[in-house]
Amino acid sequence: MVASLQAQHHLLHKAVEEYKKGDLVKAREAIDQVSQNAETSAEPKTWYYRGVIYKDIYKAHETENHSSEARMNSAKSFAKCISMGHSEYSEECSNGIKYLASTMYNDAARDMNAEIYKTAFINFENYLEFESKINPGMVDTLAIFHAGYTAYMDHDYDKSIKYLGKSMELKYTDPLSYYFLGKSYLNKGDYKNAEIFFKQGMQKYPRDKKIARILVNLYQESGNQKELVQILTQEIKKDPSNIEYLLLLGSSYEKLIVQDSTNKKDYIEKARESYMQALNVDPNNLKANYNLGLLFYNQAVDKINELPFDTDLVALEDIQQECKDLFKQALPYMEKAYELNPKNKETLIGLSGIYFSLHDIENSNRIKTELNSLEK
Amino acid sequence: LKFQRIKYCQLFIFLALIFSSYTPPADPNAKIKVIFIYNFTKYIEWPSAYKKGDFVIGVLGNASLTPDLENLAKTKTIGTQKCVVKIFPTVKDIEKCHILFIPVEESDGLDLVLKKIKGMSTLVVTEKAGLAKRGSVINFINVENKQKFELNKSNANKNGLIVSSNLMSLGIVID
Repeated sequence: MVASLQAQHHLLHKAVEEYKKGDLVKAREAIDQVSQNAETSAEPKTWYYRGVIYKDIYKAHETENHSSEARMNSAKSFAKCISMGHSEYSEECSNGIKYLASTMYNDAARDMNAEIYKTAFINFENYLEFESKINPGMVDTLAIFHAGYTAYMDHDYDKSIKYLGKSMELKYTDPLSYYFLGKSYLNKGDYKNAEIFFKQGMQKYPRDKKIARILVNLYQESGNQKELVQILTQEIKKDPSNIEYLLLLGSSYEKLIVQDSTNKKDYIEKARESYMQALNVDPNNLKANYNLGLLFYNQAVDKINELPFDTDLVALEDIQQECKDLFKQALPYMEKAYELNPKNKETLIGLSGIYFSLHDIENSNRIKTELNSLEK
Repeated sequence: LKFQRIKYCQLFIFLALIFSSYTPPADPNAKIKVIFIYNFTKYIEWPSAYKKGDFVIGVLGNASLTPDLENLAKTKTIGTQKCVVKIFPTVKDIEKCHILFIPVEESDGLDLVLKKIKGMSTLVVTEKAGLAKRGSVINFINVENKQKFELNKSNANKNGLIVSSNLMSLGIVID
């Protein structure tokens, strides 16, 4: 037992000597053996030298390797030495870790900029781990955020949720935290939590357009028209010339007409207002013209479809007049959409339908012929 | 060692902006014509022999109003009579019916139809200009973008149909 311990101490001495001579290969062989021995592995000196040897291996051969094993071994060895309690090596171990952690951070940043997110994340995570060993009270919220961001970009959503959530707990202020955290939940299929964080982000950063946009997308995908209307209305107030949002608002009101027929009249009017506002911004917008034309057309068609068969002929005359007015209102918008793009199939179908409904069979057939030639 | 400057990837968020989707019905006026036809049954009296059994509405060939007529037949009776829709692919397939609708595409066959139904009390309904004068009882026309109808009372009388004066006041009477 004593002989074995002596042999290990001898080996540790040899490792130090080889290191001092600059033979890092022999130094590593010796220190790895020493560190695996039960007695010598309990000595801070062993881990300090292991840290030093591996650090120099890293510096000599692996600085370009962003997943350097030598660096990891070195940092772990220094950390182990520190964990054994205060010793004559503690300060140097701290400095070693400080140096290595900064290289990890820099590699992470380089990889993040080069969009190599897997190693970027690993290095941010390692940086945070080793920084916490030497500065337990210090919190680098930016690095925590970056760990979350790179994990997100690497599609590791459990990790991105962990780090982005932590960065928020630590009051890291950036609307992107809410954006990426919400997106992480969304990509995991957790719509509820995604919505919570997007909404929090919007409350905290009301001027941030990205979060509003993603929330718009979220409600659009989920078909939650009432929430969609609410957020679009808010955003349009901030920028009344946002034509995309105006069109989306109109289309959302149109979907509400189907979902909530009790307020149908109100929704139709609001859809009309949204499209009209879009046309005020850009009178040559194809979608605004098409959608407005179709809104009037659909109203007329719905009125006809909803008629009971026993509607008397006097009432039928009045309804026909209403429908005729609606078809006539639809026509100029659909004609404008046609003028803007005569090859658009939807427009051709809509325009032909409006002409037909107005009993203008000649024009209806002309447009149908154009549609048929497009489909050939 | 200096810490690296960080840059974020550009965020691209696309909105799925689409055209309002709606497939227009082939003929929005078809329903209106069927409502007219249902109303005609209230204002026209058929001979007593026609007041028993099913009330048959025939359609010559393909017509855009057939689906609406079939919906009518499913949901309504004509007085106490069950309503039935029969499609006659050609003139020679025509059988005894209370109403026969001839779509515009089949209008050229009106004379043959009239020969085929001679002696029957059939309300012939057409939808091409001039046909009320050529033998149909009711002819749908478009006046100022609205669906109206012409009514030829003498053609009705020839077929043993009694037309109420109220219906005449609602249509355009042709002699």
